[in-house]
Amino acid sequence: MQRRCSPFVHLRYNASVNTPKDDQSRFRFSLVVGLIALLACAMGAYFATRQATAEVPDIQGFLWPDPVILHDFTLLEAHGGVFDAARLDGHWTLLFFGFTHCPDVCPTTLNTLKTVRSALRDVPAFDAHAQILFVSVDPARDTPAVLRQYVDYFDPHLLAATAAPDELNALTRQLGVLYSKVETDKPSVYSFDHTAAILLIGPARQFLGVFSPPHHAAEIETAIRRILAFMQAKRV
Amino acid sequence: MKHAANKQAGWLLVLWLLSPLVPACDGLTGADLWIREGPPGATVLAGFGRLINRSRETLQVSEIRSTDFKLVMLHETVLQAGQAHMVARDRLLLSPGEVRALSPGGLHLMLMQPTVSLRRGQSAVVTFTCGNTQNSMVFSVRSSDQ
Ligand SMILES: [Cu+2]
Repeated sequence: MQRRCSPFVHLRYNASVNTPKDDQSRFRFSLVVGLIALLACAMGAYFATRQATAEVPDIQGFLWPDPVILHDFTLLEAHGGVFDAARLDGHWTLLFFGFTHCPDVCPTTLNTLKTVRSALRDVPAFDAHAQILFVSVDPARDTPAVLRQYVDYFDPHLLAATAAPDELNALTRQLGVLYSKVETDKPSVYSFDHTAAILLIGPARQFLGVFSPPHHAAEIETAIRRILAFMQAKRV
Repeated sequence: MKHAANKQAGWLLVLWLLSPLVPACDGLTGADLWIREGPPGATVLAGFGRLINRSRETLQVSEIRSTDFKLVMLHETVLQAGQAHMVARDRLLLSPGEVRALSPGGLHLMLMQPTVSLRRGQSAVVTFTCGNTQNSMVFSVRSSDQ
């Protein structure tokens, strides 16, 4: 709750007093009170600002305060079943959008994610609940079977999912992820331009972090360590 | 008839005189050339390494082919406002002495539709064309986590 802070009420209160002597001393008194109140206001404002700054640690890519809480979406998981919003509950999810016909950025990012994941093995709160999800923006070619083969090659613990554009967009819109098909003069040869950031989702579906490319595993690891420490201290 | 033959000979003479200016691939060499292994059945792979122009002329690579792939393109990954774009480059110019890196997240060979299954430890031959000369180089297949 915010309180109004004004030293001027005291000065106004004195305007009704009668004798000149009383008037003078009361005026002096109220001036002192007013000045003290003004000083208190200034100090209050200073500490409030300092506290607010301390509450939002300077961590690159950290979306705090007021992270977006993800709501319903349904993707088809490569290993069968669906991957919906409920699958985020209780997990720290590292999310990346791409497509399997992407031989440069996507394998590089998946390797970065594996490195980050193993570097954080010493943080039990993360290690026990972490999952890496690769979402394909190319459902026409990346059937669940194709996706499964792709991620299993990198690491059998990786999760992968995709969906028809409408369902896919139900998730990408919430995250501000963009993708678009890039066609060539050969109909069979096409690719996608896509958001190449690594995204971090918290255990209560909070969209907590965006790590923009080019990615350096050590920097992402440090950022996640600091986010985890901050979230633990706040008990959120 | 004779006039036409003379004209043709004239053009050939002009081409012969100009031939030192047509960049040749002889001076083009490669170092640390490798292909990132893909999952079994992958239809697109990427090639990396360094291309070096050891000649005293500017080289223009106009075509890249390989019998191990149906289509080879030169691509560059460009990051713009957090978006990754793959941009096709139709030629590559290398000034004398220039070393051009093909590296993950940057310039790379886009190796499409492999005609053989390429696993780590194996290699593929890639042929670069500059003008009317060609130069073939061996790319070795390495594990994907590099
Ligand atoms: Cu490419």
